[in-house]
Amino acid sequence: MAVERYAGSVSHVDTPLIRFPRTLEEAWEKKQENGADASYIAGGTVIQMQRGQGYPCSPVLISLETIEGLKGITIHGDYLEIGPLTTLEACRRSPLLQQHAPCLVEALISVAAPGVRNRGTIGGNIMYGKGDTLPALLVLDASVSFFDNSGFQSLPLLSFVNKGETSPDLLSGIKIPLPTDTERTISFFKKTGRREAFSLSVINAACRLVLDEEKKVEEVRLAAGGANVPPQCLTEAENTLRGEMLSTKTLRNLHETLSASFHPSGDSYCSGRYKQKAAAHLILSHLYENMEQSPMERRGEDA
Amino acid sequence: MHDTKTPEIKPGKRTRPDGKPKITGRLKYLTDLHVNGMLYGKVKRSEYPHARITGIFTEKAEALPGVKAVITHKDVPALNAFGIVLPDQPVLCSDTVRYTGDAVAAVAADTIEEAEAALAFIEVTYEPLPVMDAPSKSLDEDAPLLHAGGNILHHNQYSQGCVDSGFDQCSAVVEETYDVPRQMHTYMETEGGVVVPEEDGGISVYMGTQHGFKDRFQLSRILGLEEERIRVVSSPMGGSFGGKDELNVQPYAALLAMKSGYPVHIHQTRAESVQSGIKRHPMKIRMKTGADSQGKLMAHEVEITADTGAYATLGPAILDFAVEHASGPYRIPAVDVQGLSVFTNNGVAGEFRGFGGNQVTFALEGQMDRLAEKLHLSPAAFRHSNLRSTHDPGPLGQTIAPTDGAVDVLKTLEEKPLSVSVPKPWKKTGTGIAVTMHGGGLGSGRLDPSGGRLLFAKDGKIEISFGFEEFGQGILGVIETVVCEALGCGEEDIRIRIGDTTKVPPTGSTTASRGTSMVWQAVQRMKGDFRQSVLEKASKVTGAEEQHLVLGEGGIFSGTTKVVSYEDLAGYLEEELETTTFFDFPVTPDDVDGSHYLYTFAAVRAEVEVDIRTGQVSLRGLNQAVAAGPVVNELGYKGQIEGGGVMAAGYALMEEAEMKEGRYVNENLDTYMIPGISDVPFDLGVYPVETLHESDEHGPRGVGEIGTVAVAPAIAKAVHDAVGLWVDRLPIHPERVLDHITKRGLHPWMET
Ligand SMILES: Cc1cc2nc3c(=O)[nH]c(=O)nc-3n(C[C@H](O)[C@H](O)[C@H](O)COP(=O)(O)OP(=O)(O)OC[C@H]3O[C@@H](n4cnc5c(N)ncnc54)[C@H](O)[C@@H]3O)c2cc1C
Repeated sequence: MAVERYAGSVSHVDTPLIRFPRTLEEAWEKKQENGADASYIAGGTVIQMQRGQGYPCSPVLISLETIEGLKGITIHGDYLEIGPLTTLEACRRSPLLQQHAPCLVEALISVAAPGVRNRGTIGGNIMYGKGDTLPALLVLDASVSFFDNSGFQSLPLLSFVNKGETSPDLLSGIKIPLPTDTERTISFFKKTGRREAFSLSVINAACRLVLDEEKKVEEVRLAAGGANVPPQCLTEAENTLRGEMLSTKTLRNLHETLSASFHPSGDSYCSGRYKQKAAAHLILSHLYENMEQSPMERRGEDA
Repeated sequence: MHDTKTPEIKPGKRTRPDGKPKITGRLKYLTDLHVNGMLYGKVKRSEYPHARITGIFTEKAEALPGVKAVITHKDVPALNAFGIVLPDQPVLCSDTVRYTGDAVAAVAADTIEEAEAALAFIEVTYEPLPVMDAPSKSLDEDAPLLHAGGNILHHNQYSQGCVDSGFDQCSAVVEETYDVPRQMHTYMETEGGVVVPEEDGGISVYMGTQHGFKDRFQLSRILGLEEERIRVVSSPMGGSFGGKDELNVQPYAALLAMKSGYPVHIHQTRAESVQSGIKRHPMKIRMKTGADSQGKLMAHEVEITADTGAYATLGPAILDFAVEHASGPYRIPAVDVQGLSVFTNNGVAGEFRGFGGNQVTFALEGQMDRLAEKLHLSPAAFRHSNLRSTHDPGPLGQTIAPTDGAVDVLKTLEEKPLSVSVPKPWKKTGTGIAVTMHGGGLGSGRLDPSGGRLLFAKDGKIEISFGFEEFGQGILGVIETVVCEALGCGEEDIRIRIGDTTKVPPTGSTTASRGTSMVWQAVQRMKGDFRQSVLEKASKVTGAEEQHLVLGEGGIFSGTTKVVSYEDLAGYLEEELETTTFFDFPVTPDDVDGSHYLYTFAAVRAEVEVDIRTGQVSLRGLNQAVAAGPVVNELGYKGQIEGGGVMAAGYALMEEAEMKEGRYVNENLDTYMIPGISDVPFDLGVYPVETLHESDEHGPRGVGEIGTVAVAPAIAKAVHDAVGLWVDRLPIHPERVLDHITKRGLHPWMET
């Protein structure tokens, strides 16, 4: 398949050589053999887009499509496990993710268009470094496993992301802890692009928080990312929420903290200040909505 | 014969003849054409927006394997220039480049890859010159001259009454400067096709255009080849919207084919198309408009500055159109309009659906809304008290065909219910309306001939021929409907010929909303004679009395009985029966250069939701009432208005072919955004007003442009209605909207 796609491409003379390893070990070795001349390729959607943008394509592409066991979504004990070669569309349709990681599904829905989601993989979305799933995975406390010469290793996603884009690791698995109390969990992912759909993020934000019996914030994760904004956890903002009730006062404090601590950079489309404001309002508006109609209040109304 | 008294055209839901092959992907476009032995061409464009060329070296490229021909300015046999209005754009630059789309050389090779590789081996040396990247810079006294005639392409003005004394009588005056962007046509099929050298030394050009005969003329001037030896096959096309009316890559493929002796295929990539293709004119429009205490418009002062880019193409005519439409469908006693079209080193601006009307209508309707608010009148009521009535002159004081279109469209729209939206704490909703009138045809004093040919052919087909082009707008569907309804025959009985200069009569350009109108006129003029000649023959052959015979589906009928099929009748033909007609597009009897006579009208209502978190504007409803005479083909009509509406929503909300220092910022469709299906509102209504004034014999008008003209101002007003922001710049950028919302403190979660 992949070979055909590139053979049919008319754009450039740089037709790459494509390798089809059978195992992770073999893929890793191929990468070592070719060094900087080789790249892994999963769905190829990013690589093809970058070619179209005029970036040279690596002369050797190591396809991960033929490696067994890199696809699918399963539960292992307290964890959800996602194979990196699972397509974005398969993830989006997964009942397991819809039930246990709804904010990830919201992020997946917002990625590109059906054609890209059918080809593109969740591993590619992570390794691309700017993928919309990253903030959602961050608030879900995801961790990733990867393969190198010392075998399999595991890291929290945040540490992995902070290692930098150039890491040559071979991503082999994504783990998300199963949530314990969904009743008292508020989670969401919101993105703003340059049109209603099929646009990269101008800015996005994700949130997961768990309220205690008194409706105080017990656990909280906030993250943002998109385009040239590196995916990041908004730790200071999290701190202003922890232990507080969702009141207008809390929201105003949160807004102040976000203004003071979150400084995305601008681009040719909009300023960094805009991104900061939009991210803050995306988060605040949803907390506000939940403040007005928190699950417990709703229950009260029903009674 | 000319019996056009009562246009009796019933709206039919005919499926367009090219519909199925298009949606099933079977239709072969001219860029899909493959001719045996053909080479692939590539054009080397300028590296600088403005520079002097100090050397062009092609030897290395010529020596590469697979390369069959390399051309530069030295290879242009005759006039090294093109341009519909005035030929000022070099086919291949020799000494100066004026924008990054300027062509310096071109290559033909066995493969695209070889041609592309060869481009890199053509060495061009430049001496960069100062870049005039805005009209204000070009107009500076010390600015370098971009053309021998200076930096002003065209100036036009119109005035009536005295604006100064007009403003003295006003109790409300608004003054605003509006900025509208450069918009890309974004046709799905980028420019291209094949040019085949013929044995007789002539060429056949298989490339899309909106006027095959005009391309033939321009190519003849460049190649020094008689027009008769150039065949232009120019339909079908995957979209044009005005963008392929001017020559694009035809001259390069032609020159390469003539030099190499092989057919040459060129098909621009999207990036090449962005860089070299024309765009809608960005304009800066200052308007000062006043009304008296009764809400009557008194004075209107307008200053238009258009950035026409490096070359003329249709820039002068577009400016004229903008000047003409600057006071739109309103009665204003004192008007002063000044228009200036200025050369810059930006991308070439030219023809685009709406032709300068969209820009001025955005400004004009913005003025109407601002004035209505100042006078505490509803936008609709204020417009009603100023709209033109039946016999009022046109905007340049010229006589126009009597019409109630302006009032009719606004009334029709007012009756339609609003859509209902679901409340959310972060959504603010708003509604806006706008009205416009739009002239059809090229305008008074310009050559605007049309015509057509009906032929009863040897094979029994009724052949109808026009020099029009099909670029998706649906002219084939219009021709089929008009001919079948005028003659009474079935669609199986006819053969439509368009888009081939060797086979069709010259009937003018397929532009300026003239196609439908001209097809209908031509068929009305021809149908009597044609019918008579066929029936005469049928009577002779069958012995039936001519007055009892009629044309019907499949053949000639007497009552309900078919007396002879078309095919059988054709067997008796000694020669084919032909009827032709030639006439000009109707113009005003007055001597007002460039002015229009037949206008169409539209009223638009836009409903938006503004997301106060991000400033994003979502279009939730777009309803348009259009007065353009009887509907010929209901689906085609709807398609044009809906499609035009969506294109204009893009103009209002996201599209901008931005340039920095003479270079495009967004070079491809990953960052140049056009609306996708999610941006299209579910509530998308089209309400035709079909009545024409009783004295109007001109029949249905074209609706290719009218659906795009007044959409942006309606959206802008809807945004104002939602959050109070007066929009003076398109596209409406979320950052500006959010800044405004923040300033006004509209976020409920920020309340104390
Ligand atoms: C038109 C278009 C629109 C898009 N819109 C969006 C959008 O809205 N939001 C968004 O998030 N993304 C978007 N993308 C980006 C992208 O397509 C997706 O994020 C997708 O998930 C990438 O997956 P892939 O399998 O195709 O990656 P590939 O192109 O195969 O790879 C991407 C990168 O990741 C590396 N890689 C892939 N898999 C692995 C692995 N298992 N281990 C190590 N390295 C690996 C590759 O070497 C490469 O550097 C868009 C892309 C296109 C073409």
